[in-house]
Amino acid sequence: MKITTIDYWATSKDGFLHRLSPRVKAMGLICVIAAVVVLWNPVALACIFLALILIAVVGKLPLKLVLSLSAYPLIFTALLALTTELGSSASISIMLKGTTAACACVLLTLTTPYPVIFSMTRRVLPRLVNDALLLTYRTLFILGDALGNLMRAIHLRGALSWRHPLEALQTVASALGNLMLFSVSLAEADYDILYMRGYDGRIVPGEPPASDARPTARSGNRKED
Amino acid sequence: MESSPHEHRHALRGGPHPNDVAYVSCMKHFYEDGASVEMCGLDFCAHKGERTVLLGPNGAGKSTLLGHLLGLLRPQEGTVRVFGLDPTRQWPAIRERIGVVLQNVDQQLIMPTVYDDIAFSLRQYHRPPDTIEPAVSRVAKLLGIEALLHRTPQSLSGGEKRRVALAGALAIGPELLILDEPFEGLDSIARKTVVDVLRRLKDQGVSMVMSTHDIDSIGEIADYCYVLSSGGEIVLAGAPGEIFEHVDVLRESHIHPPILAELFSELSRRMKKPLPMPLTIPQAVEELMKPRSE
Repeated sequence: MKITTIDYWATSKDGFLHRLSPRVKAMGLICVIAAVVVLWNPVALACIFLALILIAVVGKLPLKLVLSLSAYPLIFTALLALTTELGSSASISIMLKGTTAACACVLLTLTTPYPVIFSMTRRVLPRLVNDALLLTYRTLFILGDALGNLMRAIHLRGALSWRHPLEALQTVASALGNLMLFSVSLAEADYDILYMRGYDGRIVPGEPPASDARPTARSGNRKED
Repeated sequence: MESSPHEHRHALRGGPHPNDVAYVSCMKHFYEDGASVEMCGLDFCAHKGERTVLLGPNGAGKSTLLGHLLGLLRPQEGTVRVFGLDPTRQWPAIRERIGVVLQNVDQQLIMPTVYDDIAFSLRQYHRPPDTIEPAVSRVAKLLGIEALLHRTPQSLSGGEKRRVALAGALAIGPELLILDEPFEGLDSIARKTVVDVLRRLKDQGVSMVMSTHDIDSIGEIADYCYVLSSGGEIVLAGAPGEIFEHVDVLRESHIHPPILAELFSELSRRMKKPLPMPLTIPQAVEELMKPRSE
């Protein structure tokens, strides 16, 4: 789970992409997605993807992280390309479409603190959807930590042995089942917390303080206690 | 069971007293997994302006009791009242008067920045927008977290998160503060800050109900204590000094008495005369330096 790393890059770095207005970046993202939807030419799509990578390099973003995050949709687009008879050009285009759109999203999220992103989405999305996205994003941090702890525990207790792949798979499956139960209890706890803190069906948006500055996380992912 | 000198506080109550901000009588809660908390014995009552502490071993039902006070759990039997109302049914009527810090503060921090999180309840309760920033600044200063206001909660350490959660609870200006293990994860300096803040809040008339298993902090943070046995029964109630005199009951309840209590209990036994129970090291030193005839 790279969510804390994303948060760290978005809030504690100061490249030219970070300094760029969030609106400009959002417009750029919309333009890229529109182009990705419209274009079917693999060369044109590859050019857009390479241009985004060039922007990431110039913006001093971690290339490995950008590429690995952008590659997530490849799993699904490759499956789609393999299971349908689209032809090689269309298959490559589909894979490039997913990767390029994801790359544009990655550039935005790695250079814009998520409160700023949600303050933009608040203007265009229904309130309930925006509230749900905000809470989901926060929950991902908690679940990410829980998953990390779970995998560490499995590893430390010697249950991930490649000599016994079936048993390892069974262990991972039951651990993921536990994580699912944890996420259900987390959802219940979240509702309790919201209820106790005054939630009655909607999160009331607020203005930032007059002395506002960009949210920062100078100490990155520090968690000492 | 030994009786507390303060048992008169609980005798013949037959219901909540107007001076009680929280009152629990013979509450029984049965969990779906078969575990149960049966809080019979003495009634629990937190008086206005007092710091009331629940002390008990893990699993004694401290968090269960707090869950009932917050209306999150419904008792199968018994009475629970907060400000004279049933919190499960009438929570919206009392929630603006109550600040809460839960044991797991990770779950409590909801908003994207520390500032927004402290301001969350103020906004939800539709407090005037021009009062929000001063209120957030005030509590941030009080808890020494001004430098964190623009940070994302996920990037904070455990102790910082706990102080942010406390700031969120204090920002609404609560009449009652409910704190579940308020010192967990705090280093000694942060702990002292929180103890001082709680003392100041008491001076301002804020009532508090806290749970803890840290008996060493009781002398500093409690005006009145309830000791729970592992089944949830209230076995002792009284001021901290009175609680510490019952070292045997504490041990039976799986609570290790503070070292000062053990020392003075042993001194009393050997000297065959009762000694006043000190709550702090300076009090103990003062007591030991008193000239004695024998």
